[in-house]
Amino acid sequence: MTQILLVGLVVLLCAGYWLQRLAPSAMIPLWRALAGLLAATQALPGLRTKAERLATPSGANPGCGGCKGCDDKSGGCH
Amino acid sequence: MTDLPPLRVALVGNPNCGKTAIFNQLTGSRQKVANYAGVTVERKAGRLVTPAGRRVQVLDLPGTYSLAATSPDEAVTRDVCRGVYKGEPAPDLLVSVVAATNLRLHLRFMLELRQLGRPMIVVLNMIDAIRKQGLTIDIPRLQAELGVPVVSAVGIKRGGCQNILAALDAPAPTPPTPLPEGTDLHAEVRRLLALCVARTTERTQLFEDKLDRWVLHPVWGMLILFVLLFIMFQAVFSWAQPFMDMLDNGMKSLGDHVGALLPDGVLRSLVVDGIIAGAGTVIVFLPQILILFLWILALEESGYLPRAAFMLDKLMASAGLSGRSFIPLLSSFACAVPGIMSTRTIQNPRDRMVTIMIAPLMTCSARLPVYALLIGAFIPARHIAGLFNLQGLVLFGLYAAGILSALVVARVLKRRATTDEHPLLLELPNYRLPGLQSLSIELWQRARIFLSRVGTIIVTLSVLMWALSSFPAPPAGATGPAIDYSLAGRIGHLMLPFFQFIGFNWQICVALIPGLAAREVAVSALATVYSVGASEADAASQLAPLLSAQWSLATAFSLLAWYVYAPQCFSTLAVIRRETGSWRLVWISTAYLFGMAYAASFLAYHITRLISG
Repeated sequence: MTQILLVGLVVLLCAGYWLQRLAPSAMIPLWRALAGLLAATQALPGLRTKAERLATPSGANPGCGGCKGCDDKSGGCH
Repeated sequence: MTDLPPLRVALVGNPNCGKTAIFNQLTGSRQKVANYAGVTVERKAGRLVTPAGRRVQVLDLPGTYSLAATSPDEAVTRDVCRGVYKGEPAPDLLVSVVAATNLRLHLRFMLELRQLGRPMIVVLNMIDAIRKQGLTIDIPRLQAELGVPVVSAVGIKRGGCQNILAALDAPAPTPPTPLPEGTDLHAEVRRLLALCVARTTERTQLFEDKLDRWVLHPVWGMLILFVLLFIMFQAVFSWAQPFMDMLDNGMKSLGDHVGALLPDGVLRSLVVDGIIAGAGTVIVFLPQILILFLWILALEESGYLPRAAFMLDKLMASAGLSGRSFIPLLSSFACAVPGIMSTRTIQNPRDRMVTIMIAPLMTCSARLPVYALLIGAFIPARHIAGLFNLQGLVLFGLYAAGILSALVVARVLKRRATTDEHPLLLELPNYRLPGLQSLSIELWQRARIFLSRVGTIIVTLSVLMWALSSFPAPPAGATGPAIDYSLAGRIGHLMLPFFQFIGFNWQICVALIPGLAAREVAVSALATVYSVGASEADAASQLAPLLSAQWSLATAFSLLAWYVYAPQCFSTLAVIRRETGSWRLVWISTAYLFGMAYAASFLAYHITRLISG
């Protein structure tokens, strides 16, 4: 049972990763909820900042994934 | 550190004067640098704190020969310098970077910048190279003549930008008084050169001039280019093999160890059949990718690439393109994303669109694992005439097929268009011996990019592929292989009627889907599908022999042909959308590449079957 739960969690995380890449707007409610939860519990401020950033429509990284932030002011592509 | 707002500084200058090298030195960034014009096509920003504690924001702008912009990248520089770039206030200080080795050309643009009447300093970059040319520059005199601070720098050397830092710490320079309207800037450059530049040794024919007589020769030059590319593909197979064997054995032992450690069940299957089989199969190709990049980077740094562009200008013209398309197409061998972005240097909009359309036909490094797997599995590793590695020859043929197809497509797309692209004016940089340190850093960057793709894109897709191949479990009393009842099996069988005419089996059909995310994922997907479905325990680490046993030669050739043209990955589609501002070109390029891939696979499959009986 533990194995199935662990495997299910890993598969869900991977699916979430791809959903974030392909349809970031679909993940916004999740990030918003997570940011709200972390704000309420005053826990993990770093993760909260990241969740708040991802909860905005322009917060998702538009890059190709090969490197960091192709479009970001400090970034560079390949 | 002072509380003043950061000083906003813009690095401006001609292409290939070393702005990005200086930017990297000042800010500690790792922006791409190469020994040819047109590498930077976007404005990049970085920060630094000077030795006196002054905060500075540095903008690295695309190179341009004039403020009269003729291409999208030059327009960015023009707008930033004039202070009209959207959302960007005018820089507090213009840093005009001038290559000391090419003052005649670069001083003209510096004078044009000076006419803006903004505070500026002039940086004479590559000052070490000019000494080797037997020239000296009277910097105090030049400073007095220009009325702005002039400092020297060596952008590619550690500590080579100290003078710039000192100039940034000095009080802000007063804006120069522009020259009277209608002043002939070329005449002014000649005057400055006569006053400030002196020759200390007699000019003799340089080694570079002698080399260029061969490299730019219409016959010998083409032969040199062909031989260089040929050796590159031979090296990819010949040099990489020992390292690949090491990685292969490492992955096999890892799979065995983890398999022995974990109890039998879904977790072990996920780790061994999903993650290790999937990602491990792709990691093995790292040495080949690094050897390919070692060649490309060495050619980039040496200054040979613009000469290759010059040699190929005629060939490009026969396809209706100018040599200006060469650098974007060459960048596409690494990845189509930066290649498509660098089409911003092309002035003619139609030429730019055509270059964007054909860029995905250049074989990107993500396709190398697919090629290497199939070539390794189906082409014997023997030598022809005791010299040429047959596998390397096939790889060379696949790359050549992509290039020739791109030229044919460009010819077709431009058959009715009359080109008004400016003739190719190319600045040939000085030859430079590639530095071991910079090559190592660049290669390390490449390895990091590849490993980060394996750690994110490939691992996550391998996990998803494993889940699709493992669930749902077969119903009670099922007699066929379990994977046939899984979602992946069902999807594969659903796609099979369309792809069976080109010799694909259902496993290949399934692997094509994650291959759209990144082409090398097709390899990991095949490894996962075969691993989950295999009865042998070590199937995961033995993908190549497994494929050669189960596939026909015709199927392998068909898949190779598919990947010469295979529709782009999502990132490429996204960047086409961004660069063209519409979905139209995205749909057109997807449709034509899919059509070409299907037709090429169909021909490859049926011709091979006909020949091999």
